[in-house]
Amino acid sequence: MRARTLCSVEGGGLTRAKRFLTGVLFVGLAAGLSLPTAAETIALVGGTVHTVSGEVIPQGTVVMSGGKIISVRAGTDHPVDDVSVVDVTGLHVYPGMISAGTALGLVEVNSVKGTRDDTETGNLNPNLRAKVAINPDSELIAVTRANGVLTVLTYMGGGLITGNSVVWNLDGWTWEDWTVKDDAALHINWPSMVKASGWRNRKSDEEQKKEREEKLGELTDMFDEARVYMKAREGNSALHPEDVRWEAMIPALNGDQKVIVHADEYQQIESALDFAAEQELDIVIFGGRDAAKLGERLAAQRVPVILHRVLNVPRRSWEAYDATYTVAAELHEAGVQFCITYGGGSFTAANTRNLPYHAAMAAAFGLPREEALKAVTLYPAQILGVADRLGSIEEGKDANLIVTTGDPLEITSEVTYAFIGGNPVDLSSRHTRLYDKYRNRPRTDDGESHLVPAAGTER
Amino acid sequence: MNSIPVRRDMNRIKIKQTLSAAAAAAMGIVTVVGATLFAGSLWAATAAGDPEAWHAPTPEQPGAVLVRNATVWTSGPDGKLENADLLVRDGKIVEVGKDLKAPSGAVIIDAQGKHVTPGLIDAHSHTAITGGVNEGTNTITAEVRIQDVVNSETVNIYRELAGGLTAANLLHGSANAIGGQNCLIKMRYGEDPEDLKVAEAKPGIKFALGENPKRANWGDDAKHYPKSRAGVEQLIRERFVSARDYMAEWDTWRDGGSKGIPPRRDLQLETVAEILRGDRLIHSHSYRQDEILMLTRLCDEFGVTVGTFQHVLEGYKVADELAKHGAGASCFSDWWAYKFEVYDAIPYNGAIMWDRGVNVTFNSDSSELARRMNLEAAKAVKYGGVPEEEALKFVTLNAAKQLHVDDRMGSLEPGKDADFVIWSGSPLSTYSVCEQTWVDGRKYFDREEDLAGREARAKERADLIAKIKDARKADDKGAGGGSPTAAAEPQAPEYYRNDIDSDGVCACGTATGHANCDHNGSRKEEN
Repeated sequence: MRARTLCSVEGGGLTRAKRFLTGVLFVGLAAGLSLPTAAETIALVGGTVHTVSGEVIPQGTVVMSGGKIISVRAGTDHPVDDVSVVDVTGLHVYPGMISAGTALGLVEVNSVKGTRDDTETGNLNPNLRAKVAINPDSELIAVTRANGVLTVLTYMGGGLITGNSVVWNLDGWTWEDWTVKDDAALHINWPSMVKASGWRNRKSDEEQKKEREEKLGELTDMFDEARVYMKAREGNSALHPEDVRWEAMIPALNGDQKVIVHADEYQQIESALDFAAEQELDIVIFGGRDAAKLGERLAAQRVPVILHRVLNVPRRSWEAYDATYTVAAELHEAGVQFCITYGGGSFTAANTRNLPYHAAMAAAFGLPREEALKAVTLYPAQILGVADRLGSIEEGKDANLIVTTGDPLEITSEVTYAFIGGNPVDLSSRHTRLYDKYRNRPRTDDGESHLVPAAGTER
Repeated sequence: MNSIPVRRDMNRIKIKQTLSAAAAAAMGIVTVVGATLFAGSLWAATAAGDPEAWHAPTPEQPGAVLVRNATVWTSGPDGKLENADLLVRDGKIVEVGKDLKAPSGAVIIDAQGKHVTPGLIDAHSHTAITGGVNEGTNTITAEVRIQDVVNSETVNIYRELAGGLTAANLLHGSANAIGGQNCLIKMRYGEDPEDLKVAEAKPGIKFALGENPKRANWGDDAKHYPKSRAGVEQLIRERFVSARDYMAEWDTWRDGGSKGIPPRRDLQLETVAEILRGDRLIHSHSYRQDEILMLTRLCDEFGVTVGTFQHVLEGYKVADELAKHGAGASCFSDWWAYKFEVYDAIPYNGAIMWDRGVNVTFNSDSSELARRMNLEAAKAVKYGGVPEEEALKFVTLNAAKQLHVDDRMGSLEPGKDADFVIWSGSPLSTYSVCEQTWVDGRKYFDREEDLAGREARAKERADLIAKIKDARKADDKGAGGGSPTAAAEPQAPEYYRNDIDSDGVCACGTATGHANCDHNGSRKEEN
C-alpha cells in the first residue's frame, strides 16, 4: 500500500478549515518546504501513536508547538486552536530514529580524499571536535532522514583517542542550528588485542605484540599525564600554560563526559573495562561484537553497549551462523543497557538509512520487537544522555517525529512525513530528484510506467 | 603452525563421517514420513547442521518430499499461492498446487503459516573463491578461470544457505577490463568443488569498466594502461578485433583441409572468440551510463549481446538502451557514494530498469549481503513500488535467466530442480527467518538442527583444543622442558587464543574481492 492512498485528506470528521490547513501543509511539503521557519503549531491527527516509552495509542493525536511535543492523547481532538492539522488516519507516528554512531557529515564520497574529514593524523587527538567539520549540504543527510533516521551521533575515527563527537539533528542551516549535544563523548579506538592472521596481515606475532603494547602505553600515558596536568592547573594555572590536548581530556577525567570506547573483540572490551575501572572513566562500549560474552560483567559494571552493525558476518569461522544477529538479544537477556546503531566508518555512512533493518534482524533472532524499536529510538537517547529531549513521544520532548505507512523496521514501510523540532522536513533527496528526472525520461517503447512517486515527496 | 594438529583431527573426522554416511546408505536407511522424524532419526547420526564443510555428509535425497499448506511464491506463471503444497520427487519439482496427494514414503513437512520460495540465486558473488579474486598483473586475463579455484569448504556457503541462498555466480574481481571466466555453483555444502558446479550454466566472463580497471583508487603513482574510460574501450576493442582475426586464421586453416602448421593456439583469444561467437556471456562490472552505453555499442558492432551489466548503478539513465540491446542488469539495491562513479546511484535503479523492460536482479557482491538476498528484494518494493512477486524474482527467476539456467532453476515449476526455502513468514519481511534450505531435493540447512547441534559442536571444539594442549605439553616434555611459546599460552577464555579469522572477510565486513572497498590493492581500513 502506498502513502498516497493511505493518507486520507477527507477522513476522520475534519472541519473544512482543518482540511484546508491540511492541504496547505501538503503543498508546502511537496514544494520542499523543509528548513526551519518560525515553528507553527501542528497536530497529527488520527494515527496510531507509538510512544515507545509508553502505550501504543491506536487512534491518537500528537500536537507540536514551539519545537516541542505539547500534547499526546487518544482520540482525534486536540487541545489547542489555530493549529495546522495533518490527518494521519491509517498511518503510524513514531519518534525519529537515532543512530548512535556515524561518520555522517564528515564524508561524502568514500574514495575521494577531498570529501573526507573523518580521520586525522596522529594517535592522540582528544581536542578534535567533529561538529565543526560537518557539511550541512552533504547529500547523505537528506537520504538518511528520508528513511526516518532524524538524529545521529557523528564521531571521528583514526588513531587512538579520536576526539569529541556530536549529537545532531539532520536538518538545519548550520552546524550550530542542529546540535543537540555538544562534545557528546570522547572517543577511543581500543588497540586490537589478538593476533591477526591471514592474507591481509603481514606483521609477525612479535611485531603485533610490540605494536599493541606501544599503543596501550600511549593511551595510559596520555591519561596519566592529563591527570597530572589537571591537578597542576588546579593548583596554579599561571605556572602551567594551557595545553589544548590535555585540556580536552579534563571532562572525561572528571567523569563529566562519557568515553566511548570502540571495541569489538572480547579482549578489547575486557581490557577497556579494566582501564576504565583503573582510570575511573564513565565508558560506553561501541561496536561490541563480542560484548554478549561479557554480558554479566557489563551489566554489573553498568557499562552500556552501542552495538554497531547487526548485519555482519561472524568474525570466526566456527561461530554460529547467526552469531552477530543474536548479540542484541543476549545483551538484553543479560540486563546490559544497549542500543543498535549503523553508519560508522566512511564506507557505511551513506547507508545509515538502513539502521532500522539492523534492529529488525536482531528481532528476528530473539530480541523482542518492542526492544528492537527502543534500540533505535529511546535507548540510544538514554545512552547518549539526550533522553530528556529525544527518543520517545512524550509531552515536553522535542518534536522529532516520523509518520509511516507501517512498522519502520520493515523495509516495505515508508516514511511519509518527518518533523524535526516541530518543523516539517523535506523528504526529497539527491535520490528522489534523480528518480524523478529519469523515470520521466521519454520512453522509446509504447509501454506505460508502473512506477510510483517516492515516499513523502509527492501526493 | 597451530592449525596443523587441528587439521589432522578434522581430516580424521571427515573420513569417519564419510564412512558412517556410506554405512547408513549401505544399511538401506529409507525415508521416514514426517519432518520431525526425518530430522531426528535420519540425520542425527550424520551431524546434521554442522557448519564444518569437511564434516558434512551429503544430505539424503528423499524419494519424495511434500511441503504442505504453505504460502508458495512460485516466481513462475502461477504467482503466489495460498495454502498450497509443493511436491518433489527425486530432486525435481513435480507439482505445485492445492491438496496434493503424498506419495507413499514421502517426507511430509507441514508448513502451515510458513512461506516457501525458490532457492535464492546471487548473480554476483565472490564467496567461495580460493585466494585472490583478481589476476591483477595484466589488464586482460580472459584465460583464467574461477572453476579452478572454487573453495568448497568455506563456511560462507553454509551461512548463505542459512539465508536461503542456493546458487551463486562466482565472478572475478573488477581490476581488469577483461577479467576471467565465471563459475555458477550450487550451495551443496560438503561436496567437492567439482560437485558444486552447475555444468549446464552458460559459460561467462567478467568484464570491468570505469574506476577499477583504470585503477583509479590504487594510488597516484600507478603506471598503468588503461587510465581512462577511453582506454578501457580500446583495450576491449583490440581484443575483439584480434579474436575475430584469430577465428579467421583457424577457419582458413580448417578450410584448407587442416593441413600444414595450424595457427598458434592462444587460450586468451580462444576465450574472447567464444564471446564473439555468442557462446560466452559477458558479465560486465559498470557504473556510469556512458560506459554502459559504450560497451553496448561496441558489442553491437561485433554482433554480441552483453549478458549482464553488473552493479550498473546508472543503468536507470539508459534503461531503454539496455532493454533494446537485451542485456540483463544485476545491481546492488541501495549502495551508493562509496566512490565518485556511484555518486548518482539511487535505490530506484532496479525499479526504473524493471519498469522499462530490463531483466533485473539484485546481487550481493558480499558474503554478508548474500545471507539476506530476500530483504534486498524488498527494497525494490520500497523504492519505486515494484510488486512483491516481481521483486522476489530479482533474486530468483531473473537471476536464473541471466545465467541461462531458467529451464531448471529460479522458480517453483514442474520439472525444475527442487531448490527451495521455507521461511517463518513473508520472505520480504525483515522479521522472517529462513528455517530450511533445500538444494536438489536435499535439505542442506535446517535451523532447528543447527540449534540442536550447537552444544555438541562446542564440546567437540573444546575437546579438540584440549587435545592440542595435551599434545603440546607432551611435546614440551619430550623436548626436555617447556618451550617459551607453550609457557606463554594464556589461560583466558577461548576467544583469547583465537586469531581473527580473516578468511573471506574484508574489514568493511564484506567478502574479499568486493569491488566497492577497492581492496583489490588499495583498500583502506574501515570500522
